[in-house]
Amino acid sequence: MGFVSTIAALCLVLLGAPLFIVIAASGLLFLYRSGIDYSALIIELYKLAHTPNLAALPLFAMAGYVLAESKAPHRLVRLSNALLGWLPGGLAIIALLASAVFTALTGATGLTIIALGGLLFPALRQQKYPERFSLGLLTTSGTLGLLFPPSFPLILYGIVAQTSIDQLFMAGILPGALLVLLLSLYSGWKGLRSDVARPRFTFRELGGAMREAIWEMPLPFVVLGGIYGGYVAVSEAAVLTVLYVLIVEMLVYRDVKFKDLKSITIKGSILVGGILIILGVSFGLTNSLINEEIPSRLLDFMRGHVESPHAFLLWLNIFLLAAGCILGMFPALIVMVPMILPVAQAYGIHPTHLGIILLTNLEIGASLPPVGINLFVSSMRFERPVLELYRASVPYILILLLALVIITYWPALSLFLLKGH
Amino acid sequence: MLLAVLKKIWAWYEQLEELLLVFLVFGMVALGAAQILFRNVISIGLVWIDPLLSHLVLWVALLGASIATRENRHIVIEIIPERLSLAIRSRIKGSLQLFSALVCLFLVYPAVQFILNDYRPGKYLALGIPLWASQTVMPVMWLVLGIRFLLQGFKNFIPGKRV
Repeated sequence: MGFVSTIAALCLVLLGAPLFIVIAASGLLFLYRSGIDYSALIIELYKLAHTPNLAALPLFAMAGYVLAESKAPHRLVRLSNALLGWLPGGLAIIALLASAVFTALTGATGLTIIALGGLLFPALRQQKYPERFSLGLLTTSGTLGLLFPPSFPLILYGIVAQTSIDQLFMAGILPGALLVLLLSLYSGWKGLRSDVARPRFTFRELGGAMREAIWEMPLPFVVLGGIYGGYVAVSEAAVLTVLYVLIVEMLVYRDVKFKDLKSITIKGSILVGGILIILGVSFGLTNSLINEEIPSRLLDFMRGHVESPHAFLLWLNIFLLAAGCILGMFPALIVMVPMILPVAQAYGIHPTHLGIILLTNLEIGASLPPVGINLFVSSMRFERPVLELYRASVPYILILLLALVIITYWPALSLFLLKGH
Repeated sequence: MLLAVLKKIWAWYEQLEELLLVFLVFGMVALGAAQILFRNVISIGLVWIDPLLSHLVLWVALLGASIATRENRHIVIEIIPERLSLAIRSRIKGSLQLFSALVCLFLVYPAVQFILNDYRPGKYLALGIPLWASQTVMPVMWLVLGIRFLLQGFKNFIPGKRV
């Protein structure tokens, strides 16, 4: 793209034009200038549909929206309360775990704060957790769990970067657990200091909670068992998950009624359609990037200024945090990956590890002032000014940044569980 | 008179679009389940399922994008100052929607071109569905997206009807 058209595209995006329109328009402009037939753009859209495992996206989205509509969040919170409520900071830790599980299953789409926040915020306040602590906790937990399978961004990275989704599913587990662990330690410490209520552990309550959630507890194994066992592909695991969730929520718990299915399906499809249409037309963008040799120019520039992979990773993180905050998760994933991937590979960074670094950044970026999306969702959900949430999320962001450093500079944490590595 | 008929057809289309979307998503689940069943239990691979599933994803994505347009739920990065007056904001929005309409309507032509180039007599997707018939979803949905943006764009220039 020429300089003028780049500026024009940027203005359109900032004014609020749908991203896929601006990307499609710049793709058409690129084809016009290179004298290529416009149907090339359609060919790419058509080819996208034939990407292996793409069906996993609409299917997991469907399963996630069914779960969000059911009383699964209540059962999840009750079960973790029975298990961990007695710990110092127990309820806060529960909030973290429940948010992480819920985000992984519903795909990090802003649903977590809305679905769980209303449940957890009053409970935290009732047990005398400080207000600012609770707000920050729930805000930054909005995207916690993004690294756990089968989260939407994880699958999307696999598709955009053409990396094995199975491997990404494995790679995300330990780094994701690290994020939860560090935040839990902080919550435990805070809980000890602020003298909050600590309900006693009883086997009776645990038994009751387990009986209630007994049909949902196998869900992680449904999602992952077949993939790791090598029985099914990712898209087939998605089919099994949808079937399982539908049977459990409609026939066993009867939380979701047959007539709700239409609106649930439509909600899920709006999300999927909105993302896939960007992906479908992003061919134009990717090709003009390659045509203008932007990745290789970027690489030359980086090589000239940054020698070690360590320094490169530092710059990458700063850049990605900003991208996650300003662009938002999905646009950042789709637009940035084709640009960054070749450069990172030249510095010897494993594409799967890069994916984990990238997603951790986007996860943190979503809570980062000034415009991280979690802050706004929280502000709406809890009816607090955004400025108050900026302050509330500071300690959490610092902890998450510490985890980011560990994840970035310790590749083995991500790659340890990978087969044949 | 004509306007009333057009409105009726449009309302009818919107119903159809939603129903079709739900039907296709559940079709994906059913086909996926059949594939797992046949391969793992009866040890027969059904070769026609994969291409059919790919096309279902294409349909679901395009129909989903169309409903996202209707609901104003496309992914945007919006930083227009909230302080601007409603009239100015809706004019900016309207102009962007008209621009979007232009892009979508323009894409109808290459989508038709693609089908014509790809056409070979007797090329089937699966189950006796000709390949071109399924591919038609692309020009049709670009057209629908274009119409949707066009209508929203015009509305934003009429005071009292702004969305």
